[in-house]
Amino acid sequence: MRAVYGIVAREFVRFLRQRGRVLASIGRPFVWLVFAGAGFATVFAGRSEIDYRAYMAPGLLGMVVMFGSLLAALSTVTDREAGVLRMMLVAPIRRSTVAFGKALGATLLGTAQAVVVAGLLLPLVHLRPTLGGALLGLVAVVFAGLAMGTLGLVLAASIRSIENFAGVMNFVVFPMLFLSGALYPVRHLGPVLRAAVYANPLAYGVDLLKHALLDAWAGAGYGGELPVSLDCAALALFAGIGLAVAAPLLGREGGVTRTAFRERR
Amino acid sequence: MFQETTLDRDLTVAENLRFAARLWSLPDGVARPRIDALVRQFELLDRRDDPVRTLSGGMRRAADIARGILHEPRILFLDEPTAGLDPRARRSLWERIRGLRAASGLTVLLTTHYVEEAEPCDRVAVLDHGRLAALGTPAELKRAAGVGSLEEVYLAHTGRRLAETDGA
Repeated sequence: MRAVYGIVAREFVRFLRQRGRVLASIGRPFVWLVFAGAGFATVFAGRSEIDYRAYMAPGLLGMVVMFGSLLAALSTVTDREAGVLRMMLVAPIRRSTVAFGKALGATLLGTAQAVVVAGLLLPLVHLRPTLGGALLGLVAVVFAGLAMGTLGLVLAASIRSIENFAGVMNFVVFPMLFLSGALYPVRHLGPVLRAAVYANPLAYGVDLLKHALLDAWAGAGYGGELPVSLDCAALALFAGIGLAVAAPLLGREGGVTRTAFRERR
Repeated sequence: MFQETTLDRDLTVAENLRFAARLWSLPDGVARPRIDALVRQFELLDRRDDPVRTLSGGMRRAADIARGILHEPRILFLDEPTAGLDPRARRSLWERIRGLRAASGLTVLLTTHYVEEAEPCDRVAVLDHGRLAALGTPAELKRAAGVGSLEEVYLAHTGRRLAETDGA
């Protein structure tokens, strides 16, 4: 599909052109590694079979994917304000193709960022994944990116302006991060929070990444907690629901144009 | 073409055209020479690799039209294309449109509030509150209303109410 390729290529060009965004996405996990890592490492010091920073690595990669894919998909809000979304919607392609292109672009952007960060981060925390682990990690990142990208699309289609970004950050991004197992194991949480964990797509991505990277510590209780197949299925389900919800929401844009025309008269 | 530009301000002129070509599923081999020709035709050659945000309003309109005819449509819809343009940019825009019509037999459907811009049109419709108030060639409309300009035709058909209306 040329149109999907065009939409994806545009996402990459835009991302690489925004130097601040590139630096933020690469630098952010290391900021967390240094500041959150230093603090939590002292709490866990001496009581743990695993260095906290290594334990954190899968979660940080999950975080990179979350920010990368979610923010890329949220750029649909900007597309709408700049009129670019309208151009995509008048092109002779299906609305679901536009949604799919945006989701795929977000997925690949998040994946690319995670791969770059992994290359820098894993040697730093002395994690050396096996070939199988690396491949599973890549699968995890792609699936998580797809789930995050489609979630971002749904959010973008339902929020009207950029100002709501702050709300998204506070009420979506941070709860999702803390309830993902990125920073601490979630299996000791109470039943309410555990339920929230199971409703959190990022949790399955991080769990999958723990399978991929922390398998050696699985016996000590630091590896993935859910079966790999369940993680994959849950992420695919989130992605499917997201795409199914987002496509008609984006399609409403045509209705908006008609409404605007009616209002003008 | 929409009233507000739909170009991506962060992409260059060439990237915007390439993006549009892909949305319209034109193969690169077809799109590339067309983009080259359009960029030259619309005098954007030295700006083709500059981000659209650095272009003047007139250049953006030119790029918008180039984008609009990239897939060689038979009809081009222009929704108030000259809104916010200075006289020079307006004039060059109309010259381009005239050139396109002459060269390819392109049909242009234009909506505008600057009624005098409809003077070179083959047929003009005056819309008043969404109703068709008059339809004909500019000469017929002027004769029927007994006035000398399309602006007066417009005023004659819509003068009863002071309201925002569409003239075309």
